[in-house]
Amino acid sequence: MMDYVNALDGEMALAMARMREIAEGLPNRYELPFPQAREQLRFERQWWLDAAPAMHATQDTELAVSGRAVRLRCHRPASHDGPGSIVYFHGGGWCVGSNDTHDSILRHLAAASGCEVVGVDYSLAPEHPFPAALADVAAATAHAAGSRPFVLAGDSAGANLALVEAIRRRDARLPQAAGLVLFYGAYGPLNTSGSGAAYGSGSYGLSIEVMRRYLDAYLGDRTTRDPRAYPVLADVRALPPVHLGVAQLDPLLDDSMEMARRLAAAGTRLSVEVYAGVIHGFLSQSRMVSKARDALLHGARFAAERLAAAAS
Amino acid sequence: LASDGAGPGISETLEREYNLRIRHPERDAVYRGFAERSRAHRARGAARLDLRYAEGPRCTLDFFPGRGASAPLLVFIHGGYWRALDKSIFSFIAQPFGESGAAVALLGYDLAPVVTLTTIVAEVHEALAWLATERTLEFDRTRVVLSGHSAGGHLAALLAAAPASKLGGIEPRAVVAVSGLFDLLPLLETSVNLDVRMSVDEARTMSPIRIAAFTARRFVVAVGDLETDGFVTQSRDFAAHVQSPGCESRFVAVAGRTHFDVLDDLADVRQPLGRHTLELLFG
Repeated sequence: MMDYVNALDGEMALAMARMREIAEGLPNRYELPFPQAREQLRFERQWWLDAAPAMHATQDTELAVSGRAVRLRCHRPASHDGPGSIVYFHGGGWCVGSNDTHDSILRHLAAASGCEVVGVDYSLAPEHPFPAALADVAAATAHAAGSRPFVLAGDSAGANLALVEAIRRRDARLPQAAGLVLFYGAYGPLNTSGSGAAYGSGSYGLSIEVMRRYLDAYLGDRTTRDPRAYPVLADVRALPPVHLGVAQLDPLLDDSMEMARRLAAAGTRLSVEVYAGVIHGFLSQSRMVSKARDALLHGARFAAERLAAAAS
Repeated sequence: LASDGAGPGISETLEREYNLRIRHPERDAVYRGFAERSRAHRARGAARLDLRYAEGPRCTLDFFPGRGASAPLLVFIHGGYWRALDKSIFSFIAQPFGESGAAVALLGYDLAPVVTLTTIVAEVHEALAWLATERTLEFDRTRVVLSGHSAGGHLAALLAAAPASKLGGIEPRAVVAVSGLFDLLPLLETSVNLDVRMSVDEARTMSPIRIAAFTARRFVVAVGDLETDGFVTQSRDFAAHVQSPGCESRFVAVAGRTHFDVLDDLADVRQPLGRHTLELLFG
């Protein structure tokens, strides 16, 4: 039985106050229709992006995939190329978020790893429900990786997509990622007990209610047992090494713990870091929260080591 | 070991990047399919074919009318490394844009080695100037979008840098360059130049990547994501080159497409590439 503590990290508490300040007078983003929610998230994140590391070069590409335009953002931290690239899938419940809202995460990972980071604006639900995003993720991974080593990475819904893509590549016998970097992912069916009950009221940001809304929009039928929706239900043998970066005060804490157990049982090379006192999505608050910068550094180092090993 | 016919002055590395005949045995079948669809589209009878715009034997163009004098015009310049192919293979590209009300003009031009690249470039300028003043052709002279494939993408980009005085007063508003060539210097060391016979000077002055200012303000630079690094890099770098305040540039990689079948996406307004082209025409 896990003990679900409630102590907020001091910097996290200040960052949450800053978030409330930025959103003051605005409607609750979690209750808005998705198109407005996306716009408001972009606005709310703007201040947090200002402190992100500068890049040597940044280029946006539009990848045409089955009639859809998937935007890719490539950050190159230095003039010389690293041993490979990190392909990054942003979070936002498969319904919101973009390379813009998650730009500081992309930049930190690029700066700390010395490797190119390619952010993927996969198609969002409910306009493009499951499995549309998976097709975008597959095409974007093939495009971004080319023939060089690559790491699949993401946060929240993006961690789900990264893991599902690695499983697909294993099954399709495609060139595999050198590693996976997964931050506070959603891996299984909605969990209203455990961490869901402890942290899912909304006082730590993401709530059970919001997750229900996201899953309904993405999956239509939330009761599906499709492992491409819920990778915790998949066979996870023979996957590349995985780094799990976990927020403690997160309704999805148990998702990461369960995923870690299954990966370990399958013999996966695994590293797990749980960051105490921080909430779901904390990587975006790296401007104020040193644990967010630590978490990004740990993920970037893991990725860089895996890429170097794959290139040698 | 014996080289694959690479002669003196030819880099095998560059030859692999740019000589697509060896890499794509399916090329002829793709072009046969295009030619068939093009024949069928011309057979509908709306087009005015082989309108002569200059003296050169191949200096004619096909004009597919749009909806009256307010129709925007899409100009398409075919590829073939300035030494091969024919506008008639690509009439099918006119169909989706014609159905949306745009006029489309497909340019012919003389080919190397009979003429030099300098001559070809002068010819496509003349084609635009002729279109500008030919009053029997109805379209809106202020809404001209230039497009081209491969070597035709190169020519379209060059036209977008020409002063309006050299194009009969036309100021192209946008460019859609598909799998284009924007830096000609690497081609000097390939077998392509056995036919094209560019001098170093020609390659330098006629490389759009070395041109500082363009009159067109919007660029869609597209490439198949299965193309060689050489072609992908040419497009990516050119898209970055033209990006500036006041000039919008979009780099589009088309998933699962090669240098040849990428044109299927241009000729389909349900696909992002066709859709962007339509937006440039009517936007």
